[in-house]
Amino acid sequence: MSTYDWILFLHVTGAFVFLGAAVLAWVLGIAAALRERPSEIALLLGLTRTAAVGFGIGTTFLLVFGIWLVVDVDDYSIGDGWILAALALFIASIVIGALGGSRDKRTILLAQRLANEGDAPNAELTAAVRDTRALLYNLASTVAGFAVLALMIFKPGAP
Amino acid sequence: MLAWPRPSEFELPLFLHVLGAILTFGAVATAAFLVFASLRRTTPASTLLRRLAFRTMLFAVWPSFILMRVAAEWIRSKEYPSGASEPDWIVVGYIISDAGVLILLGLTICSWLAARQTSAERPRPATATIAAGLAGLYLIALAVAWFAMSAKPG
Repeated sequence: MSTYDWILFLHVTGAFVFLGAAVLAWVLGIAAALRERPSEIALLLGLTRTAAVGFGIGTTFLLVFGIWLVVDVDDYSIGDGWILAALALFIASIVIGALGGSRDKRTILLAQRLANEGDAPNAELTAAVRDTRALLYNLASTVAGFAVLALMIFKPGAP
Repeated sequence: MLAWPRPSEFELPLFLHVLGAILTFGAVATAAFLVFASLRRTTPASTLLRRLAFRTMLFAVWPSFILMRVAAEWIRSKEYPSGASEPDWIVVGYIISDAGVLILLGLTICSWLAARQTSAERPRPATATIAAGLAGLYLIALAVAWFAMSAKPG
């Protein structure tokens, strides 16, 4: 196996971990939005911290080995349109995802407080866990992430 | 970087195959994580997590697996038409995906039983532990498959 094969495998591993973490975050987020008891919402949203770890590991692998691949393969250049577009979309995915995640953090704190104060359903918490803006942030972040995957395969404009 | 270089007619099935594989990995990892997390909690939290693991199997793992498998067959039929000899890394993919059906079936049944059997008197039924083991086993198999598919050893 060549160096290229190993770098490609590690780059693909980053894609699996990053987008796999998105699946975990969505499953937990949707399940939480369908619940009303604060303790259940706190439990489910609290587990999304693991997805954040996956995003961190996936981002590191994707960037380090992705840029290494560009340097290693003569046909690619960091200035190629599809590579620049992929980098821009990837950064957008991370930034927008962080915005959605910060709103989720506030919801977790509210759910934990309410769980300790009787664990009764609460309109403010229900609204927070079903917040349209957070949903749109998370959706845009995920779509951008999968758009990067599409760019990596279709490579518009590549030789 | 995933498909360098390929004729353009392969790109759509390849994209769908990789998309299905990533979603399958993410969904199985989610089910595994939920089952493992449930083992460290008492009811009713463990029941909630095991039910969610079962629903993840039904509504995320199986549809993703079918997408991955159908797209794999589509691209194989283009790249290696009937009669053409296939490289080892495709054979590895077939073995893992076809044997994986049995593991996924076992995982689905065990996660369903684990959700049903969990109670205050029986916080950790054996089916929950088996589901956790099967999920871990399948994640390792998927990692082997994506190593074979991306690095193409041999």
